[in-house]
Amino acid sequence: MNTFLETERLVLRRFTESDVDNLVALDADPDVMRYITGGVPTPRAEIVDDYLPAFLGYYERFAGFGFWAVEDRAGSFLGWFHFRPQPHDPPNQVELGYRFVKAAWGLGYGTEGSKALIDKGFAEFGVDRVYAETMVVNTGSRRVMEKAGLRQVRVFHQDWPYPIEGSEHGDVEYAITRAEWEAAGG
Amino acid sequence: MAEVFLETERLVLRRFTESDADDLVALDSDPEVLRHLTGGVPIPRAEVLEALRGFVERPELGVRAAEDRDGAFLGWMSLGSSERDRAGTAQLGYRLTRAAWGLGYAAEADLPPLLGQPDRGLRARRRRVRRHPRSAVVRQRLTRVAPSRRRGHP
Repeated sequence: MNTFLETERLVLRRFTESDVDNLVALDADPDVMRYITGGVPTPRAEIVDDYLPAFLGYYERFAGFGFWAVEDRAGSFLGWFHFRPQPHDPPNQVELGYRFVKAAWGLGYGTEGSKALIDKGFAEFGVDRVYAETMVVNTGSRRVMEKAGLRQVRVFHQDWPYPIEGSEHGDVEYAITRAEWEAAGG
Repeated sequence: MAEVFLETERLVLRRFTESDADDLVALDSDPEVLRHLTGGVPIPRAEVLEALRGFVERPELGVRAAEDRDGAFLGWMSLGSSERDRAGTAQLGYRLTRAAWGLGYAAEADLPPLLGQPDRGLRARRRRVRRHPRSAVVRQRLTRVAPSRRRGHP
């Protein structure tokens, strides 16, 4: 297993071809997908042909950025984090994101992994700014961002391919800069 | 109900009539719908009515009103070609109310079923289009217009 990062309760590792079922099951839960697609599952073919190859591609291009599978200490698949520049971002601007199976909600996993990724990114991979975006109405995700040390920087509106309840309230961006991270004690 | 041109699982495409004026004006007044057309500026009613007259009187333009199965107005879809198009290609067009976005309606009224419909106005073009391998042009257009990325996309 190719471990990228460990925290007290979590192991973040590289995805492999054998994670297809994990990803299909994760994206098949309408509650998980509520603020992503309005509840529509991701088709298996899309995961096989599009998502997983893209996940694996990040490991070729970056040492410290990409999509990381999350497991608990017993080896159960809990979901993923992404910590990577989007295609239009410079390599020192990194977008943080996460998606967890419902059984793993509310346990502080999102905060725990996010903090570890942010620390590692600033300390080891030359990151200057970490940002995260979600829908304004997605209070659960926003709480994770706040607890991970990000602060709200803007509310904005953009088009998404799915109609999602609450999308009229727009999206929100949170961020933390290197200076803020250092001021908070690194 | 006006002459039906095509039915799919969820859609009815029919000829426009004069009574579609209010629906069409509403469609062409939504800044979000017009965002990439006029920059969001509503189209004046007189202009919309003129366009409607064309849709009604010139079915060969290929512009059809789209309704859902309950008869709710969803916008319009069109298939046609003009002198500007390369020979053998047709353009698929559509303008949908915001409530109808993201539901796959535009893709559902795909070219092959349109081509399969016996319609005098489209027959000539249909013959030309049919020689093309499953309308790659149209598919490219669909992908370009519809946002394909979602949050968390790699």
